[in-house]
Amino acid sequence: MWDPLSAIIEGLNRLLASFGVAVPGLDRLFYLVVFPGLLAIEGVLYFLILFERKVIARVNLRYGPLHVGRVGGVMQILADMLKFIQKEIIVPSRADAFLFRALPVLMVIVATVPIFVIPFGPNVFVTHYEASGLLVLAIFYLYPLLFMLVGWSANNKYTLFGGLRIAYQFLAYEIPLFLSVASVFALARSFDLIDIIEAQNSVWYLFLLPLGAIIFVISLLAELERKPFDIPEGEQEIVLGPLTEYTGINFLLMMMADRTKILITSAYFAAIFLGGYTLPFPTPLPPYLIMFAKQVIIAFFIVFLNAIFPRIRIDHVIRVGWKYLMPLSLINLVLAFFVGGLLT
Amino acid sequence: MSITKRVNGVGEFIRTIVDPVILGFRHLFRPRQTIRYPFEYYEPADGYRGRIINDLEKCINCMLCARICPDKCISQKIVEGKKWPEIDFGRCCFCGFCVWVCPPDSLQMTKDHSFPTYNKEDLFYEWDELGEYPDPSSWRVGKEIKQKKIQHEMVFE
Ligand code: SF4
Ligand code: SF4
Repeated sequence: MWDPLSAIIEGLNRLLASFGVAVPGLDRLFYLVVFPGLLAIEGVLYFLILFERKVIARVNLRYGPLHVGRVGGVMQILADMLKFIQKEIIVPSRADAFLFRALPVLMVIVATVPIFVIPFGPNVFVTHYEASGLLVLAIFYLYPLLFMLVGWSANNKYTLFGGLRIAYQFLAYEIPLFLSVASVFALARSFDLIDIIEAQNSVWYLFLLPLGAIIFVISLLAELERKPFDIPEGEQEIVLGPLTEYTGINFLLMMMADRTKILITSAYFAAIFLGGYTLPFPTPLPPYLIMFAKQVIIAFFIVFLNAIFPRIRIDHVIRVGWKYLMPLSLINLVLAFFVGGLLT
Repeated sequence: MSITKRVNGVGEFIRTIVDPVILGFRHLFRPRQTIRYPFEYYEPADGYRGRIINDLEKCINCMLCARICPDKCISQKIVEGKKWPEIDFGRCCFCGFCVWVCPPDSLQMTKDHSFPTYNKEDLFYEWDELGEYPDPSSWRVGKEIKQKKIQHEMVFE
């Protein structure tokens, strides 16, 4: 099988050995820092933001960024980043200054950490953990709490409203999200993402649990605060929600955390419903490239959805969450036990 | 509510989600409705109120235009015993009152909408500068200039 990643690691090992340095666990370090870890995430992030601006412009029949970097405005995001970095960091006088400065960094970390346990291949993962499926979800649930804290710490009525809206939305969609994932756990009889992926070798859980997948996607969009559910950041109503007071590099970090979360949750969705690094038919492609492709396609699709949907009113959002998704997800859980019983 | 109606409702609900996705996807391949302005140019519609010119042959030096201007941006200059209007476009709001009031219709509005400068003083057009009809090629900045017609097609069906 064609396998560039292990060839690179092998070459790196030899290069270091020629200097007389032996790094134990170099492959894990490589996975963490380069691929599928931080550098790959940041690289995809750049093009995700560019794609977002371009595709929203295309759907609106506009051009979008065009001039910076000659070809299709590829350097526009870099220019914007430089602009953000140059700007002054303003901390409101009544804000909790420490939390206000610390939270953006913390949110980027929280959004990135699940990459530690998401497997990109039978051996391509940073650490192996028996309950990795649960752990990703647990870290993922930390994020809205931090976001609420952001809303509180800036001490501004718009940020506070944004935080409260996040709390409402989070409560309404957390349970359907968890129950749809729980149906996957029940079907695979494991919390381990590797076991779940291996169990989907022949048929994806998307086809065994279509209801669960739909519930997962809807709740995911709500938890990500993407377009039909972006009420916490409703620009026309409450400025930018919890982000209202952020300037300069803090704002950049918050944007990065937001997009990183999309990427990570796309990988998670690919792992639990779309067969992760496996394909139902034999391919010469290495598993991590399959997983990476799935992750990128899902992330880009979520961003594409952002361009076309209008915002839903908050009472509708909460009604959908409690009244429809919640019972449906319970039915889905029962169905999962049923399907699991049929399969074994 | 009967069962069939309810099912209809569900179908309708699914359509409201699927249709925008399809429409958005189709929009990716439609012609754009905007132009890359400095590089492409789109002729403004008739009756566009742009930069004002004065036909020095027709002007009867009555200075009614200066009287009616709500922004007081028309001043008078006496050349060889005749009064001529001068316009400060930095203050002009392009209301068109001066054109409307001008008895011999010597003041006219052109379609020139783009005359940026680095100095505020350059926006003050002296009496003889007002007489020059703006050269259309000077209206735009940038090297490659294409006349572009936007297709005003129906976007939503
Ligand atoms: S431009 Fe018209 S209104 Fe103004 S002074 Fe000349 S004739 Fe009179
Ligand atoms: S267009 Fe209106 S504001 Fe401008 S010079 Fe004429 S009267 Fe004054």
